[in-house]
Amino acid sequence: MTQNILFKFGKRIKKINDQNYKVEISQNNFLKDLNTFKEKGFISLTDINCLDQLNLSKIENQSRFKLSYLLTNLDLTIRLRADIYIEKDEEIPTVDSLWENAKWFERELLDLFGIRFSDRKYKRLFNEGFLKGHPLRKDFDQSKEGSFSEKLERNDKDSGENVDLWEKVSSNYPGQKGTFNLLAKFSNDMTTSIELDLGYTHRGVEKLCEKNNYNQIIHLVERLNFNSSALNSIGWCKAIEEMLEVNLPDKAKALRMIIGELARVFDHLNNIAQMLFEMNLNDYHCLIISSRELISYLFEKYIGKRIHLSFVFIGGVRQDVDDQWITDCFNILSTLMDRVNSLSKGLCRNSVFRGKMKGGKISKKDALAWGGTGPSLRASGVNYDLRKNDPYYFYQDVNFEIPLGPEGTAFDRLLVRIEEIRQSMKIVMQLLENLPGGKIADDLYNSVDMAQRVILKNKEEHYSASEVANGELGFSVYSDGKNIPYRVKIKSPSFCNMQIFSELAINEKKDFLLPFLTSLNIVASEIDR
Amino acid sequence: MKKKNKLNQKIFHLYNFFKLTTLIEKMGVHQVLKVLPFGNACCSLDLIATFGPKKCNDIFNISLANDIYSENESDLLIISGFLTPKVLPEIFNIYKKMIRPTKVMALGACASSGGLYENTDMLKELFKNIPVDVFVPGCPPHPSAIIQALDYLQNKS
Repeated sequence: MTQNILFKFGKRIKKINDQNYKVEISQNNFLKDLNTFKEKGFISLTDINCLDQLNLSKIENQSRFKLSYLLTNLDLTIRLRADIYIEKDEEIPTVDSLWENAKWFERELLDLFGIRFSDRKYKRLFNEGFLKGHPLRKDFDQSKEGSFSEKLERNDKDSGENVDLWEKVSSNYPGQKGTFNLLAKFSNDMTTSIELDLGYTHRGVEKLCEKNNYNQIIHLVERLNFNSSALNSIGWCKAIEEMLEVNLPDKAKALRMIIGELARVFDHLNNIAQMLFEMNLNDYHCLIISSRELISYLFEKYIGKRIHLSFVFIGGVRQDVDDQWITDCFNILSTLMDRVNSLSKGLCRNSVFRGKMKGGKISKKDALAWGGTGPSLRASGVNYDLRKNDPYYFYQDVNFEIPLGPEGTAFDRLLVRIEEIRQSMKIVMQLLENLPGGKIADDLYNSVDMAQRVILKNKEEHYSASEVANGELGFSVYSDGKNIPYRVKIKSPSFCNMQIFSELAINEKKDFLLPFLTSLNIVASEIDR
Repeated sequence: MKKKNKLNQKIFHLYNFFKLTTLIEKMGVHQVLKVLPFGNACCSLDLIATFGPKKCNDIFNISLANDIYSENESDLLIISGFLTPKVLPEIFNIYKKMIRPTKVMALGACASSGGLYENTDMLKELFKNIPVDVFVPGCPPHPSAIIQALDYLQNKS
């Protein structure tokens, strides 16, 4: 099946591994080639990555930038990377006629690399009016290009314009203030236009990744989606271990899955609590938060930290679980299971709540076209979960199901989350019953000078994805043969989900706007990076 | 349950009778603070854990879950999260509007000293721009640390 699709392109397509293929395309028939890929089933644009080749010693092509379009075939779960080389001041055509979600990716490239797209006058996505230069270029000088005091004055003048026309939509929930600026215009309680300003939490994680070694980046990555930080660090370690070809011990795999699934439960419960808070169910919100705290209690008992666990490193897991922890975990999971059951029973009976959550409909077609992943894709009825489609660790051995929603409304997304909590707890219980013995880390990497041991000599750019609570989290890593990466691109699930919101919120009722936003579980520090 | 409640009431009456003067003194010391939490990052998770399950309400008369106050009504600003150049003017605007005297808590490593993110434009010295009453260390701080900081703020003369 895979061969049939790729056969037509002949020798141009090269195989990286079973899931990943690459192809080089030229400027002349750029759009034509991409169009044929789309017709052959690569319907989803996962990411657009850029590589600045200024400081590289050995390169295939002397051009300054390499743009990579990462396309995914959801049926077969294969990814195709289409590379194109361009010069510094060269313009390339936009692809938003083929994939609608390309718009934000291109704006991001304009912001961080200064790549211009013909026929489009984009605004910078994060740093409009704050930076002169382009921070991810290798010759960026921080001291020259924009200073702090200038920016403060400039922004004070800007605020206060057009206050009457636009209405600010923001959630009151702690942790949501100051994450992004969402302005909307209404007529007769219908949203007519939306203006979204991002970049309030842009702190340059990808730039910092180029200065830290592979084990230090774990801590940077954990703070992307802080609701389920364990899953992020697992995804990063998985990407590097695939490049190093480490054989992880069985126990380390099982422990990563246990803590990862508990983090998923934590994230979903946090999102449900936030949703209840927005619906003025404050006391109910407190109950869910106290249930969520049971899981932080488990984390604290396991590794000593509540939110950023830092329990993995490249090559294994830092700590083993003891018998006391396992019995505690069983007890807490059984109480949580009862609470989640009564939560779903209660919420389904509440007709006022159901009525408020009716909005925010994402159809199957929209979800695919805008590159949605995770519960917001599955609530629209698309059966795509990387734990089933591209199983890693022991996900093919444990017994669990993927819940799907019928219509894709906000209420469907809530129900999908509740069912996913049940399935995650089921996975944890199965793993705890059959916990493998043996070592918890690979001997080579478990040492004092582990920062120096992790050196990637593999020159091929590698993309690795894992299923986190919001959707698909991917890392593209390019190595220069040193102990720090040359370039890291983070494909975050919230980035695509926020783009869906910014387009589909138009023609939505005013009352449905906040439930729609909270049901997507958007974390701004993951969008901005 | 009923028996226990009666017992509690009795104890409370006794307590009232003998220790009323000390109670009046104690409650006077605890100034009721109206909180405005400003946070765009992970510290807010522990902030919710402190206020959310009503640990704090009974001890400090601080409520966050039941009603969030606007800038004009509150007098304790909790700053947490990434202080990027874009988000700073918003914090200054909020601080200007609040009731005087305003108390300010810098929560977590990022708000106190810039955190992990060296070599970027993030603000490292908040206290030079806004007078900070208490710094809470940790990434993110433990709820017990937040409770201790609140206790310190309320008893501070």
